[in-house]
Amino acid sequence: MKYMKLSIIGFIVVLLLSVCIPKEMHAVPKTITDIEVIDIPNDDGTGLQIMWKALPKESRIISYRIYRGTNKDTLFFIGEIPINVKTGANSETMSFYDKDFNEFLDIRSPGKLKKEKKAGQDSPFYQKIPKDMSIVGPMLQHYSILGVLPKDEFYYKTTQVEQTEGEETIVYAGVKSNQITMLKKLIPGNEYHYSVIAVDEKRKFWPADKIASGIPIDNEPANPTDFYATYVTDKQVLNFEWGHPLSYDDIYTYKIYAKSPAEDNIGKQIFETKTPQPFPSADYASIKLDDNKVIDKNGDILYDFAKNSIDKCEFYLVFTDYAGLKSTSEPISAKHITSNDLPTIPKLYIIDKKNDKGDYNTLFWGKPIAYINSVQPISKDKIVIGYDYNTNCNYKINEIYFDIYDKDYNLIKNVNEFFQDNIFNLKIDKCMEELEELNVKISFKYNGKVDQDYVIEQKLKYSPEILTLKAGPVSIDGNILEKYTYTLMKKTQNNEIYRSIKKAAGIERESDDKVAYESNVVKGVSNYDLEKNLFLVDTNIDLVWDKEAKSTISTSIYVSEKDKTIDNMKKQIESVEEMLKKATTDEEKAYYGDYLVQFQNSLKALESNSLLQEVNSITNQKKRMKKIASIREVDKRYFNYFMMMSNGKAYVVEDDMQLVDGELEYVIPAPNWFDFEKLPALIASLLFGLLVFLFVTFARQGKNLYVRPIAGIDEIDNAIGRATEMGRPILFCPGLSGISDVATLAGLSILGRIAKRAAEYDTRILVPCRDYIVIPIAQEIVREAHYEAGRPDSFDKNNVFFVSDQQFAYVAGVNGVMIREKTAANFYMGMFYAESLIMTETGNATGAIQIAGTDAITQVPFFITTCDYTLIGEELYAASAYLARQPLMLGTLKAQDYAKFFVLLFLILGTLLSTFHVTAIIDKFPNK
Amino acid sequence: MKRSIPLAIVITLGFLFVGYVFIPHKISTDFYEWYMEWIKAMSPFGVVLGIMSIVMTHSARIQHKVPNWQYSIVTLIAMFFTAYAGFAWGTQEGTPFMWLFKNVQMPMGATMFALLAFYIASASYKAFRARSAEATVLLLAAIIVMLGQVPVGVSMFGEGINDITHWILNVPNLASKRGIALGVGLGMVATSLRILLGIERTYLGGGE
Repeated sequence: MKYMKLSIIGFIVVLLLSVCIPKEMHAVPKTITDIEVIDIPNDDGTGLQIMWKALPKESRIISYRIYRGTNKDTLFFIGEIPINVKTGANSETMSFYDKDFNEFLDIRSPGKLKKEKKAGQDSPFYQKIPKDMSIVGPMLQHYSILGVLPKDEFYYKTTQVEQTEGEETIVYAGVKSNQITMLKKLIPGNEYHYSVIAVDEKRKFWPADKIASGIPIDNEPANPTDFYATYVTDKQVLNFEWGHPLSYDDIYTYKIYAKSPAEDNIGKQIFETKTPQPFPSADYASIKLDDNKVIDKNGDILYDFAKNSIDKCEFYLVFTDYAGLKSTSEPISAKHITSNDLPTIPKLYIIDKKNDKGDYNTLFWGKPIAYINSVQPISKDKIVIGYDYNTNCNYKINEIYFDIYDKDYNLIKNVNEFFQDNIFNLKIDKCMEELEELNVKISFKYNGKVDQDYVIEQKLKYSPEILTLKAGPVSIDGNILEKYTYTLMKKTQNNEIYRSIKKAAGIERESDDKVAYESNVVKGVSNYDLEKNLFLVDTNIDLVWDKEAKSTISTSIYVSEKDKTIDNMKKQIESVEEMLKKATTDEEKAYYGDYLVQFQNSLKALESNSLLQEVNSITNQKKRMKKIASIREVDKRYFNYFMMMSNGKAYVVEDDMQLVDGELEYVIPAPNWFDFEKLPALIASLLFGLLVFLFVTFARQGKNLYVRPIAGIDEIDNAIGRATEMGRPILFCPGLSGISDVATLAGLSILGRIAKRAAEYDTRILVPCRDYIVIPIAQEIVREAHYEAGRPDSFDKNNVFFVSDQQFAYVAGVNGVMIREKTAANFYMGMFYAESLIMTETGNATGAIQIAGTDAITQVPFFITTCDYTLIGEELYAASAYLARQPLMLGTLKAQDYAKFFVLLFLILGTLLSTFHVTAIIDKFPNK
Repeated sequence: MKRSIPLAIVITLGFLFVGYVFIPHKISTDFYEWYMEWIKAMSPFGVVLGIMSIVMTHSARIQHKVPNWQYSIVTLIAMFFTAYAGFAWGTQEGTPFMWLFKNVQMPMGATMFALLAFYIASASYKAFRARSAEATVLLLAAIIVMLGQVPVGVSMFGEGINDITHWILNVPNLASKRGIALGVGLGMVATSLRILLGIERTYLGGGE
């Protein structure tokens, strides 16, 4: 005992010394000396790059912490780059990009200003920007701030705040710092200051020797690349396609110019489209010529190719950003093609996705596709061919036929995949190297008919690199599908420009488009109220798109402000009219003219829109907001879809517009009340419930329900008796899962019965737990068992105890209990993992009788090997009912047996029918 | 009352979540997400139960000086020191807490896991003793599968052993695994149904 105490004290001392005594410090540099801040090129003037030389591996740096401030005295923590202490930094130069909208203030921000104490009391370094309004408020002017509010917070929980600005009184919605997440962007032309702290493995801070400053500047966009043009001669269509720029945030317009040899500079503009911010646009243009002329919406001729032959023309692509800065592509000429050179585009269909909560539309097109994707040899004369297939709601595939030919087109085998399991075997008479290649023709039986005219072809060629046949491209009528992609686009009612939502490969046939329910409202934040401790945001919110006025109707969230929207619009019109009068150039006049028309339309809509009038007739604030929410959240989810197909080099084919009654069709997904994919599961559950009801009724009527004997359960009493005779405790492990696992619940049910028997025999029962939620439940079960047995005095709460939630720490604890307490009977009932064998082998070594029960298939062999009795799978769930011997319990047990019988019947029936290529039953079940 | 209120909560919520499985509507998914948020918020409080249990169990052991009570001191010191290290210096890389995790807990866990290799060898010895006809079949199957998994087996017996290995794993082995899985699935449904209908109540404490 004396030595044990000494060893324990020694262990603790060594542990503390290891932690507290610093290792020998080496003279290695830990201070960054070359920090610099540069403007990020080709951006919108809101990005800076912070660069410094990485410290050597010997410095034992674990991270670099980056700080930013609007003055050099106060720098706030903005980000961290973790470093692997063993390998050091990946590159010699470290970079941190402070760009785009990113974290400014959120729920994790500290409440008060907190200094980075480890950087020194006199240092300018502080932790994250605090929620303290006196600090964060004045900082708002140095950044562009976006506030993201949960919609309900904005609708119902803001404070109406009035502020006087000059002669005007403006009403804002005041929000608390815990209601809003704020994102920031740098402002072009403002100066920002940065520094970096290196943190070593002892978490010691090593600030850089200086604070570097930088000013973000708005630059011209990156030059357009991968710009291609084709001219479809027989259809008089000019197609253009270009590569997607890395950063499209700043691009306002895409313009195409045509220039004949006689013209100067880049010629005349023939096309213009805007970016559907904040989303990417589809990067193509398709211009239909009218008698060789490019004509705009108003009927004006933009360019006449009759005068300047397309052959001799050069085309330029120009990106223009919001500041008017431009970048121009290299000139290209249009390749002349005919419509025969273009693929045929299938029709796009849109439906509401079935069995969902109403946040997806399903887009689908074309006939089904099947293709081989892998070839694996399993022996010299046998290969396994893996295939995949894509189809959509229009085509229900019944059978896929693979006709396999050798390189000389001699038929090797016809394979009929009546049940598509994505794999089939093929016997070959030569090795793959000698075969050289296989030719595959794929056809289908879909919707109950064989389509003999629709054949997909594919070649499999031997590849010495991978020593097997490699699947080649898939083609239909000589058109290689992989060459083309489908660009799916969509637009809302209030936007004329389609945004690109997905580029689907040529072999795809279906795609889901998420139409999310609105959860947040995004607002610009530039003002605050120090007294009330509130951030101030605009009170207006979009209500609905007015089709007639072609304008979005907005209204204030406050009842008292509802009429001011019209007054404000009138003031805006007056101000634009004045600007228009002062405008001197045509460009300015056109610019303000457009705005004036837009505002006049908005005013007209505000005065006449019936939905707005309905909303404004509600005087109760909450009811009015509910009405607004019900209108706007639906209106924003209507989309019109469009599809085009291209090869990335201006071989462009557009699908027809989605129209209804001559107008664009806008669709909205609807939520479903029942998931029909789960209908078989519901029917099976109801049938099972019916069986339970029947057998419970039989049992209550006194009918004898035979339940087969289960040795493991029968032996439970003997095991408890043995422990009682030996005067040793019983150990019960309820498994490693939490209370949400049914296996744990089944285990605890058995615990109740074992604990009762143990209490009757006055034998101690130990229950080590891994899950802390299981502890009080297990304690309650054991306590009740003791009370029921009439032995409340023998109940000790501490016999049901927590060991650890770490898997192997738990094993160590349980093994220790087995050895120290010399348990005579060990029960393992529940979910177990790799620790099962370690526990049961230890129990075996201590000579305890062991009974295990688990539904973990991988652990069953270990339990069978090392335990005296094992409840396999379902027996664990049956044990509680088996022990109870009550009619209700036995009824469910019997129902379970009959359900198993019916499942087996289905399995046999399905197997037999499938053997005869009848897949009717299988098809009734969902694929997943 | 002590049992009927928890039982009512179990039955009501149980059926609501059964409904969630079949109803994909926004109302159903919103309710589920709301519930999961609460679960996330509640679960940390469960840790308190664990800590209380450890403190009570081990302090009682120390108080009563039961055999090997010194281990309880180590357990409590380790627990409180680790918690203090986390609170005082944080849990990031380079802190004493992380040092303890990397240099004490991880090696100890790995040591326990490493023991498994020896226990598997011992269990295999027990399982593969040809004491009966069934055990002999087991032994033969194990030998074939083991030889089929290693190159030396193929070089000794040719590619045929590969086919037999695949057959054993994919046909009798998979069939029995699926059979167990089928029973487990039904057993889970039956147990869940017993709990939902209030037939099985032992998990609430006490007997029937």
